[in-house]
Amino acid sequence: MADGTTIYITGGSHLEAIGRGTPLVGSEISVKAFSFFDPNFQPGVVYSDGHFVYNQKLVDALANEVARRPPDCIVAAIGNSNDFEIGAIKMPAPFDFVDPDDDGDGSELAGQLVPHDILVKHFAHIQRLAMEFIGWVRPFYGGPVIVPSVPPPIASQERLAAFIPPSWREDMEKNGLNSPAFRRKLWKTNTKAMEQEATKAGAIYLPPPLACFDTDGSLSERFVSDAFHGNADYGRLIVEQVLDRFKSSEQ
Amino acid sequence: MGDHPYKHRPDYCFWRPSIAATDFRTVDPVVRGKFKLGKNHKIATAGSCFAQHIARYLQIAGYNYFVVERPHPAFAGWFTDDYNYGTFSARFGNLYTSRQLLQLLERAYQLFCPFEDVWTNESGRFVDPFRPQIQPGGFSSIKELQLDRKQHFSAVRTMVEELDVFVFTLGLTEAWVGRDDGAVLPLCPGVAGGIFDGAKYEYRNFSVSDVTSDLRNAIDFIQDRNPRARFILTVSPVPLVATMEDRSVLVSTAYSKAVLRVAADVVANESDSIAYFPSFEIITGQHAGNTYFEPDLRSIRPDGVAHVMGLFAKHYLDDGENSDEKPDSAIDEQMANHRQRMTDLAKLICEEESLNRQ
Repeated sequence: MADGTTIYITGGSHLEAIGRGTPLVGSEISVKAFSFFDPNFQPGVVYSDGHFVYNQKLVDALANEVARRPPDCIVAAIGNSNDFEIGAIKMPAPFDFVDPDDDGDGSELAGQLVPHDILVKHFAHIQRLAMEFIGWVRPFYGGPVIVPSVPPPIASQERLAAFIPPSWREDMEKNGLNSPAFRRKLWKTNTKAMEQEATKAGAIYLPPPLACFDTDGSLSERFVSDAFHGNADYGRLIVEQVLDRFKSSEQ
Repeated sequence: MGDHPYKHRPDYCFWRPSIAATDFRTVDPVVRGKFKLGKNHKIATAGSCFAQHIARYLQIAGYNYFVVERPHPAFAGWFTDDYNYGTFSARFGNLYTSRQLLQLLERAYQLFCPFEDVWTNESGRFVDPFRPQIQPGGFSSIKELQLDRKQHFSAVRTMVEELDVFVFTLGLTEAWVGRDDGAVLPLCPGVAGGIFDGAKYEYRNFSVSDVTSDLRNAIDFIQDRNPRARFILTVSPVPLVATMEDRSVLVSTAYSKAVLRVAADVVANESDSIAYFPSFEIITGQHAGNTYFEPDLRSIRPDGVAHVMGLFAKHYLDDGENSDEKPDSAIDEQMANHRQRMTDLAKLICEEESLNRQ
């Protein structure tokens, strides 16, 4: 994959960083975005009868573009940030869990212990729903579909508080924020489930770019946009990752 | 013929009118409950598989089934069903023997710390030797197991200190115990985790005096911490799945049930706050033949459970008081409803089943 590469990107809120980051890469890449938030394709996706149902106009637009000019790959920023949704703010009854890869010293829980397996099943269920989008694409595109990870959590509690959605503020003031360490381990569990479900769905999962982490494993300040999205520089890292992936497969 | 004491005994003391000449579905060996449970009473349950029926019935009937260890509300209903929350009042799994119950209480209050700590299963995951099937597939790490156990013990303490009534179903006399400390395991090591080692574990078959003493001590333990606690003892009608004695499993079953039945009677007769409820007799009595058993002659049919729970409701639950005064059609309907409810009950977990060779 080299200059002249054509990438179609699609997805929800994490798509924006990739779109904004593409021009920063420097290569001649042709990118076209199909956002679930595009006003022409509303509602982009709805939940119905246990499945995600996508806006047919959006799917048709992507299909038409694929037919007109087949891309080298479709980058589907469809992974769900459910770890942020359930873990940014403490719940009225807090929960905690044990990361099986980290059998460290901590013997105290910050809330009710939830078995790790239950969390994995919870996240996997949500990611499986999100990955249904790949099934919508497959009838008209047999090439690589790449699902990038969602960015790791940000470290700054102040920044997180500043960008908490307005409808969550009352809960935040009442219950407080979860610690960065808790949010990181929750994100790790979620992204493992994302990798598992993306792979099952026949997509290529892209782990977070190594350069995006700070020393604690949070999203480095340089790549932060708001409470949980990456900025254009983060998007650039993703696009570079996609290009590297193709380079290595060509070699 | 002159007068004699039997002449003044009520019908329920006579076999023909109360058993042989009565429709088996309406045989009532309970006669009267020692006390009544209101909808506000916190009713905790523990014991062998059969105790799960009582737990589920109390929930369905709208009584205050006291569950102290629930799934976190954010995940309740999300894949938590297999994790045995609410199967009993806490996630202790089946407590087959009264020694197991006593040791659970002592462990919860840090008065007993067995040597046995963690087992691994075939997948390399971690198993609590004292709750080997509580977590499907095992715990994901030793730390998770230990923290879960700590949380579990805290829940057990809450149960002990806050319950109003404790319903305990005695299941077995045979058990495997640690040679060094006598810690009783619910399952033989190697069946669902762990490795059997004859140097570490030994087989025990508890006697009447063992069971009586353990039961009495367990009740005293709870009442020392919760003087208002009352108890209902039952004996599981489910036969042994296997015996370690060198004799027929049928003979071992008879021994085991006899011991448990005697111990329950002895202890229940010692106090007005302890009652015996004859679920064993309702299911296994001659009136029923094998009607209440499934073809495997172990599992209890839904109509058998319905008979037991109907009488439990009648004699121990405030709202069930007049159920015997209804006409037959109403009884049939009531039984049909019970049957339906029981049929609807989710599968019961029974660790002892793991012993089955098939």
